[in-house]
Amino acid sequence: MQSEIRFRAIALASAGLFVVAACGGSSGNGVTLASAQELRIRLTTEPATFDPGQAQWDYEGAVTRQTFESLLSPTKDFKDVTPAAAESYSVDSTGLIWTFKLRPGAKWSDGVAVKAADFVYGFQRVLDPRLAAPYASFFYTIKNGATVNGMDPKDPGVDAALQTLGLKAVDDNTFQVTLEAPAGYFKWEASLVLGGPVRKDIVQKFGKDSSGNDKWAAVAATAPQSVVGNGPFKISEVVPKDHVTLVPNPNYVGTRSNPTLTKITEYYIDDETVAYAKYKSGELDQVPVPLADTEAARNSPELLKIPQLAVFWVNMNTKKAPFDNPKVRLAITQAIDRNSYVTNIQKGRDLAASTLIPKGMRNYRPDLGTQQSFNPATAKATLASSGVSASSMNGVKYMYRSSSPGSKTAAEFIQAQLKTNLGIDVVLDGTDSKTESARYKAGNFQFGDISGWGADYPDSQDWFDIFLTGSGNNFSFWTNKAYDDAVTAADAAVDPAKRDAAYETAAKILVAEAPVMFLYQSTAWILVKPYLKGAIATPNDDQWLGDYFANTIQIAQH
Amino acid sequence: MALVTGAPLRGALIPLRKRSGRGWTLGIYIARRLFWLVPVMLFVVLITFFLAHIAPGSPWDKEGRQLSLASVHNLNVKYGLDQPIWTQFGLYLWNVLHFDFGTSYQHPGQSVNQLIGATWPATFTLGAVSFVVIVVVGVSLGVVAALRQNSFVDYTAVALATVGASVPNFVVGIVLIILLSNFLYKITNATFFLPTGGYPQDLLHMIMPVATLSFLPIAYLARLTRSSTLDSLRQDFVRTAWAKGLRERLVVTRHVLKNSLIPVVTVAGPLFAGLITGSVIVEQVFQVPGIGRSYVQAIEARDYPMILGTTMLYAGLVALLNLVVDVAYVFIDPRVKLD
Repeated sequence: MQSEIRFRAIALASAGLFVVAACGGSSGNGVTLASAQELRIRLTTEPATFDPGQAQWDYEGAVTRQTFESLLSPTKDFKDVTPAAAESYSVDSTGLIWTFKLRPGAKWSDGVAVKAADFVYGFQRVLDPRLAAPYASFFYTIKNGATVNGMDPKDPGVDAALQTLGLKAVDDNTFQVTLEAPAGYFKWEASLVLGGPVRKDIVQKFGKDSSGNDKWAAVAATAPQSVVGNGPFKISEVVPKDHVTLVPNPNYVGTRSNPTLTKITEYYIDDETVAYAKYKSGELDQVPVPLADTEAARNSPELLKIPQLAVFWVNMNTKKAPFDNPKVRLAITQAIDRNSYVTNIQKGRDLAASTLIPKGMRNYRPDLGTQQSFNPATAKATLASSGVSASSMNGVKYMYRSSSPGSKTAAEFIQAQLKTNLGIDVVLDGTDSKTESARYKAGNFQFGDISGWGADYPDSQDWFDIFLTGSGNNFSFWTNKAYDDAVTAADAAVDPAKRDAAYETAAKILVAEAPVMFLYQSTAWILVKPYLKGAIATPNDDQWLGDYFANTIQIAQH
Repeated sequence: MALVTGAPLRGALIPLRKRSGRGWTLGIYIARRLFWLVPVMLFVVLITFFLAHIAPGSPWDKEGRQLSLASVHNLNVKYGLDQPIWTQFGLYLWNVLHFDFGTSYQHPGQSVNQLIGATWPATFTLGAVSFVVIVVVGVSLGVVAALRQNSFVDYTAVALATVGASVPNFVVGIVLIILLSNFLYKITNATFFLPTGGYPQDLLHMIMPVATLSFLPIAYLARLTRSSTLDSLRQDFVRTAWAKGLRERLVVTRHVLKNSLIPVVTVAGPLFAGLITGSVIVEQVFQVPGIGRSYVQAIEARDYPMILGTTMLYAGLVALLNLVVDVAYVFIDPRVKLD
């Protein structure tokens, strides 16, 4: 029932704009606080795990971000990172050795001191093939990370291999990471919840299940005892299939200290219209606006519009005719009126996009996307120059997910646009979500569906790597040596100017070669009760507004 | 007086001898039926196992950031999916024999037993409450309709039965939502008229799903009771009862109902099983955190152990309830013999 495609695999960090929700203010500047400081919010799905190393989705980040603290965290303006569990950090002249000084006096929620060894264990665990952490690949930047994670889980040498990782507890307060190659963006990876510390004694105390899974952070009634974290909140109650409750962690020391909130209740509500009804009846304090309710919400004083670091596009299989012809692909991109899509289908909520990098990030260059701009005459000329006639393209198949209203509407829109602007009859090819994934992997499609990317963190590396040769996220099967070289050089470079120049080269190739047709950047529409004060929204919040800085949220008397 | 005292005496003597023989037959019958359950369940597991694995897509396929090849391999090894499919099947059967239904791929660290255990009460309570509602309302409607044949009550019952039998419950649910959420909610402001979940925390939220689940079976049961009651009413012993000058209430409760309820008992078992297995859609519509909803999620996620565990539970439940009904039948209808 979700109208928006759930694009973001892991919502861990990001950049861009920041918005101060409602009329923010502390109790010190005129807000009369309500006696109950409870925040009630909605998660789209029950988390599968409370383990920071195994979390994959934003509805899991919505919990783990509060219960764990990574070495670094994004700044309020989302332009950079700032020390969090670390008090300070430094990089040596080679760019390989990163040294983090841990915050003195930091404690776990059970009162035990946080040590560098806990970070070593947390990072080792993510890369341990036996844990099978879904997003271990973020840490392939660490020395031997890819090698160790790629070992056979049954290999008896895994334990020894874990010791060869570039991870070291120099002393109780100093954690040192050695990278495989210089990577300036490692600071962002160190801000992911994935890199939270983990207590070995707790993991061992709760043991394993018959599949070898650690039981410690399972979403079970034991979670309040098993999830010992170093974050500003801790789990106080787990009601399966209904909600999880967080309360402040009295032992927390760090940048997110002294929350006013005494309780955060996260309800699992998969249907967005149900969540919306609950907001209206006063059972939730904030809620995303369903597309169908756009008009009703448009002029509400409770509405906040927050551009997301998320861009959507249409995939074209570059290994299948006629999309193996770059001119054909480019012609398609020029034949789609993105403004009409944004205005009519997305009800004017989102921004038309014709490049990869979203507004709000460094390297946002809409000027580089002009080649994909909508122009039916140019589109016809481009198609004519490709040597493929419009009539020969009749019957070309566009894949979409029949279960997703958003995917279906987009499919119908593109079908109509190509008919009007190029005279091509597109056949719609509906499928279910899992079959679509399988067909993507096998390359068993011509073009479609709509898919996209949400920033894991606001560094261009996170975005341009998508289209590298062999990337699992490159559904177009596109390969381009010049692009690969530019991106690889930019990823490794430290000098910002050099990086910008190389990413610019890559962006130009990407737009001209058009393995995908860029469509729009999404904007979150969220209703927030007027009594919810002080929330700092980011373009990458994990399902609830203000979740990076929950300590600033206050509930005014109402 | 002699006749009245004599009857129970005779009745007490004869069954005493008979009952021991009958108990023995019954025991053998139950044992045989339970034995046959084994191949049935095996077949269910076999079919489900292979259908689930044949379905396109793997448990690790997803939208958004794709998992690295190494991560997919590690996950496959962790859950034994790297083994040949027959080995996997054999291992699964072996574990099932030890009542280990595996761990859910969707929820690391939680076993299928635990997950079903957590969702089971919501579904079971819903089914049990609906069952009571269905039997009470359905039987009453049917009896009244039969006794007042061709009256307003009769026509209403027949009309309701026809509608109920021809409209699937997801339509009933949605129509109920449209009616109740729009009108009754506005009048009463009671949130349990909204399809926003809330059950099992707040039992009032059970009203809508129970109404939806019960609609069709009430209609069915009312029709069944009506026709069997009409049948009983025409029997000689009922005529005798009337002739004795008994009051209507006594004729109905002592003589008519006793006989007309026999077919009701026959359907009770499958009906209850149907309420449990049939709540899949109702749970979706009313956001009930029950076993049916997690079943649908498991299928979407290709969570094989959850799919298999839930299917076996459903199959076992249907088989057992059918057995219970067959056995209960012997006690209710003396004409039935188990061979």
